[in-house]
Parts: sequence; C-alpha cells; structure tokens
Amino acid sequence: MTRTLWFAAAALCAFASAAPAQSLASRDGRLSGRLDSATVVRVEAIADTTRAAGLPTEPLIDKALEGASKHASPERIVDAVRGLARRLAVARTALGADASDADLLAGAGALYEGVSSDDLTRLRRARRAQPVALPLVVLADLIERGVPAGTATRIVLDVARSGAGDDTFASMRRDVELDIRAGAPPAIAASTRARGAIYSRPSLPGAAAAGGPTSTGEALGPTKHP
Amino acid sequence: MFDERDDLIDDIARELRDAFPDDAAARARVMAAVRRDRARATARTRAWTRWWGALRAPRTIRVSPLAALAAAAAAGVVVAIAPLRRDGHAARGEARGAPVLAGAEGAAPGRTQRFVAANGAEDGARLVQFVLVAPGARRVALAGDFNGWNASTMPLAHTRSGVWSTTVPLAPGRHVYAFVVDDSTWMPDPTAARAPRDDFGNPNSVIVVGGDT
Repeated sequence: MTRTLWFAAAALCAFASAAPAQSLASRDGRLSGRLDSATVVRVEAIADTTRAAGLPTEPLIDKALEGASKHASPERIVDAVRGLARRLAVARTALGADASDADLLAGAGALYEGVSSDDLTRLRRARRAQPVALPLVVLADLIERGVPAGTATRIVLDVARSGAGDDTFASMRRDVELDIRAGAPPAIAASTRARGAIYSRPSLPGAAAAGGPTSTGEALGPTKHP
Repeated sequence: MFDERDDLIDDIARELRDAFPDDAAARARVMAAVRRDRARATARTRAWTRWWGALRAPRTIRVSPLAALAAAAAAGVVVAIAPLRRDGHAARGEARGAPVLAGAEGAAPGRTQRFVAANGAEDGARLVQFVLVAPGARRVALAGDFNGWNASTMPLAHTRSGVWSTTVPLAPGRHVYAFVVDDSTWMPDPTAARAPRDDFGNPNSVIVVGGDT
C-alpha cells in the first residue's frame, strides 16, 4: 500500500511539473502564430532576461501581441517590449520586491508618462500596505488628460497621504474627466477635485496633515518631499 | 415633562394587543408549530451526528496499483488543464454567475458605459460589462491583454439601437484594452481611465479589477 502511494505521488508530481511547461509552450505558440520568427526570437530573448530578473513576462508577450494586432513593424514591437521590460525593472526597484504585477505594470505606465521613480517610492510609502495600482492608473490618466506631470504627481501623493482608498481615487478620476469634458482646464479640475476628495473624508487626516480644514489650498500646494 | 396617560401611546398599545388574539385555539396553533420546529431541529442534529461520526471513523481503503495510477493521472490532467482554461475559456467570456450591477456611468451617443460586478468565482474573477454606444457601427469587438489582443474572440452584441455590449470575467489586476470598430478602427473606452500613451499609435483604456476605475 505504501509503495502504491509513493508511486501515485510520483506520478502526480510528474504531471504537475509538466503543467507550467505546457502553459509556456502554449504562450510561445501564440507569438509564433502572430509574429515572424525573427521577431519571436527577439521578444523571447527579452522575456527570458526579464524572467531571470524575477519580473513578470506575460505583459511583454501581451505587448508584442498588441503590436501584432495593430500591424506595427517588427522593430517597433521589439522596441516597445524592450522599453516595457526596462520600466518594469525600474518600477520594481522603486516599489519594492514584494510589489504585485498590477502595481509593477501601473508603475511602468506612470514612468512612461514622465513620473520619476522617486515619486513612485513616495507613493508606495504614502499608501503603506495598500496596493498602488489604482492611484498610479489615476496618475497616468490625469497626465494623459493634460494635467502637467508634476502637478498630477503632487495631487495623487496628497490624496494618498490623506488616507484615501481606491474608491476615492476612482471617483476623483471620474469627476475630473467630467469636469474636463465640460470645459474646465485639466490642472484646475484635478486640483479642485483632489481638494474635495481630501476634505470630504470623514476623519480629515489629510486635512490635519496639511494644516487643518481652514487652510484651503494648502493641501494641494507643493509637496514637501523628504 | 411627559403625560403619563398619553392618548397616542394608549392607542398604540391597544393596537398591539389586538394584533395578537389570546384565545385557546391560537395558543394551540402556536405550540404545535413550536413542537414541529423542535422535531425538525432534532432530526437535523441526529443526521449531522451520524454523518460526522461516519467521517471520523477510521477506514481501511484498499486500492490496486493500477487504480492509484489512474487516479494520479486524472489529478495530473486536471492540474495541467486548469491554467489553460483560465487563459482560454475564461477570456472568451464564459460567465459563471449573473452580473450584479455595482456601478454605472451614464451612456450617451458615442460614449461607453461600464459595469463592474463581483462574480463570486473562487479565483476572484469579476464580471465586467463593456458597453459602447456606436450607432453607425456594423461590428464592434473588444481586444485587450485578457484575450491576447485578438478582436475576433470577443465581439460585442448589438443589444439595442446603437448600443453594443459584452460581459467578460476578468482576473484581478490591471488590464489594458480597446474597442475595434468595423474591424479597422481602434478606439479607447471614452469613460474609462486612459492607458499611458500607446506604443503603436492607438490610445488604449485601462481598468483595475479589484478597484473599479
């Protein structure tokens, strides 16, 4: 009976270890069907290096597939994949070794928009144990909508330091979007909505940190970076 | 300060007394119901005790080597297939639960509307509804990192005049996507967060599942 159990366990381990390999083969198959062989080799080489660094590689494959679907040139696809790999590495250094894939991807996106790695680290500290993916997505969105990168970064850091949760960031983003659509200048819309997000919080921790609710405008002034 | 014989309180007390007639027949009905409930509860407890005892009692299971190998092989196949199912079938939108509306944004011509809903699936996937209002479109599809940017796998259904919609389960995390209109025009979701500038000349949208944007 004992021998049978050992035999069964060994067989199970063999099947379990084969599963990731099958998944990897399937992913490579996706690339081969959509890109020419030379581009596949170059993308896989970047992915191998990225994997060796302990970074997620699936976003690189997705980036290559996106380029293929949009009929981008092979050179442009490889450049995009290489750039993403580089930004993922910088984001990991800035956000810490335990950052989730979503945090790393959002960090890479913010870096693409011109946010500094130091500011990623500041946001990581401001959010403490909470994920930073959504604040970083909001930050990139604000910059895309025309808010200067420095202003958008200060706004997101101040809202994060007020203790705001993901829902506050999400509703602030939607409000800014609607304001801009209605004709408000992007920086003013973002500053105003951020001030509202900070001062509408029940305990007003951010307001207290910024000098109290009577000092309107202070919360969104230049952030004192340590 | 208060009138001890408040008329209003007297009226309420009278109504409450009237609502529960205190006659022998009513009392008998109530007691019969109580006895029925107690009998059912006792029967449930006995059944549970029997099952629990059966589960705790040691058993000797005799399995032939061939049967053990077959069981191990079956378990291995399940382990091997699970990731493929997550990557393939789930991305094609096989919803496992009815979407529960969690939030909505107003739809207007040329605009999109998105709902995020908890799916209740064990892997934490959420059902996300993508809606595009595009009256002039002949075909609309969804492409993103959740389907390998393959627009042919996620067409939107034409639900009513000019409104296109699909609901797909998405794993928690950050997802980038875009709509493909008439097989040729890539367009972002106007009401979603914008993804950072696209490397390939077309703007994308981004959604964080687990934190509704």
